[in-house]
Amino acid sequence: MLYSFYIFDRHCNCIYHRRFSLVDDGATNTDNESDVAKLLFGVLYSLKNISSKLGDQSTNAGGFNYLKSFSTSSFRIHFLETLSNLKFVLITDNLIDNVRSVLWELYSTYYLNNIALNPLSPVDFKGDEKITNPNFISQTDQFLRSLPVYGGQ
Amino acid sequence: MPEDNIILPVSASMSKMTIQDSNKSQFGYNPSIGASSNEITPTTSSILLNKTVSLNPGVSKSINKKAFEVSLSSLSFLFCEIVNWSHKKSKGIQDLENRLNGLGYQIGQKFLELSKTREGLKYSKREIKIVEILQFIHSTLWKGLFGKIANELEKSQDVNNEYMIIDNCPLVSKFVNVPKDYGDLNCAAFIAGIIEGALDSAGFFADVTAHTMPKEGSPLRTVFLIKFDDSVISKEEQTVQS
Amino acid sequence: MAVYSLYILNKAGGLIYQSDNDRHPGVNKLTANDYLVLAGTLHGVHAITSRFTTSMIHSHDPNTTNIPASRLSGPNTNKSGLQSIETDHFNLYVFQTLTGIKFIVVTSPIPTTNLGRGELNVQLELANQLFKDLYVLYSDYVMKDPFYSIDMPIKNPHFDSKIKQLIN
Repeated sequence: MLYSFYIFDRHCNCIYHRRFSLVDDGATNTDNESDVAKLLFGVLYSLKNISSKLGDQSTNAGGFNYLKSFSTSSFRIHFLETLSNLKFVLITDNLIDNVRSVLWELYSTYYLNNIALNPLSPVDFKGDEKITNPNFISQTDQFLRSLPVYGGQ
Repeated sequence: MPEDNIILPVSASMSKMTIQDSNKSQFGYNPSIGASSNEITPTTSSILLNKTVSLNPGVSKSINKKAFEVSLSSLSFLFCEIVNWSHKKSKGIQDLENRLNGLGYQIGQKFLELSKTREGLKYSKREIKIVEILQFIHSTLWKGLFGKIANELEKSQDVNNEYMIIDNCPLVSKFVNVPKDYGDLNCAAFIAGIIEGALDSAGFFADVTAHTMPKEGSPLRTVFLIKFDDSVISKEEQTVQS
Repeated sequence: MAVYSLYILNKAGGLIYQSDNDRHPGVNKLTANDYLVLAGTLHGVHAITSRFTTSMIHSHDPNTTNIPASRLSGPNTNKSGLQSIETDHFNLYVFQTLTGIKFIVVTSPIPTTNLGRGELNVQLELANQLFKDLYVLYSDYVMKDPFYSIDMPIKNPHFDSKIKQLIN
């Protein structure tokens, strides 16, 4: 089951947040400044550091060691970082092992087409700017809802 | 602990007691009656006597009972505290070993008595030879204390009055790890004390010390070196001659 | 599942025991100071993630709005914090006892081909089994040692050899 979707930019800001809650009112960016978002970013940052420090990054071991996910007893947080330091985060329940392809799809199709290639979108989201592009929101919503991980498995 | 934090016993059942209630054994303190419930009357005194003192002639059954099992954990924790307590009071490593030895000594004295009684009066005899008493300690006494017999019993080849009882893993030091700066301290000095106490009260005066001698596969292997007093050796020689 | 390393943290997040299996690639050898930082970071992350739990889950399926109480644990249990981390080269598992001691093992990762079939939870079960055995060894060989003082580094050859037997 899918709980939430976050995007953080390289300035540690949460630029997009979509919560798939009980009353699915389509509200986005409701608690980007909340403590949870900030703590989540901090945790990801620490764990990313640990995995790059502790993991053997020599080429014969397979190169850079990426953090894939981490879990607690009630949810699992999946993580993808792009070359431009954008962080894509999906929060699901514990039974879902791997949503890497979903995160990649969110980035390569939906983010690139609607935000990066969009001349009206800023390159850097300054201050409290957020992603409000309606196309991006509706397309990612549609995409995530169509996935098997959205409901149960 | 601050004084207002005194832990009281759970008294749910006590508060429900009435004056009519009495203990199953007709004896004991009843809080609803008060102090008078604990009074010694002819009835209670007979109960009290029957509970602790066997009226049967001969040996009481409770002494003969052998198969008591004690949890290794509680024994280890108790021994842990014994070592800590002695350690706090001791002035050095040697002093600590002596203290542990002293604590074991009293157990040895008493346990010799008990294990002799358990053998039964018919078969029990007093050991008068060194080898016999050592064999008794190595097998019967060891089995009574630790549930197994000791691994080896040897006589020193160089020195006439030295014998060795060897245990591959002494029960009390199973979980003890002696730090490097404690030298060759061995907490089995406690067991050495037991042996010494048993030997002394059997009339074989000896000094017993514990030494760690690790062997492949048994890192805790301990040698209990028994050094008999000269008087014991000369007495032994006289017995052999006669 | 191969075990690369084992760490034990005291309740303040200090590293009190470390055992590394040098034969495995995948993890770097760090300096002693870096290991202390690593332990402290994991301790902090564990504390933060245990605060997350309730605020993070918003179910969108009306049938499962009430997440069973057993899955949401209170702050005093050892079940609410960070449980596992998956990276390309290693997996890391955390187990906290009721007294606040943390056992951390670093293991081999799961091959990507197997992912997506509940493999992570299978390996988590294996890790939990390992934690149980480690906890037994800890309570036997560390807690019953009269010369060990609580929360201090564990320097105990008996414990070492038992750990080596278990994780190799």
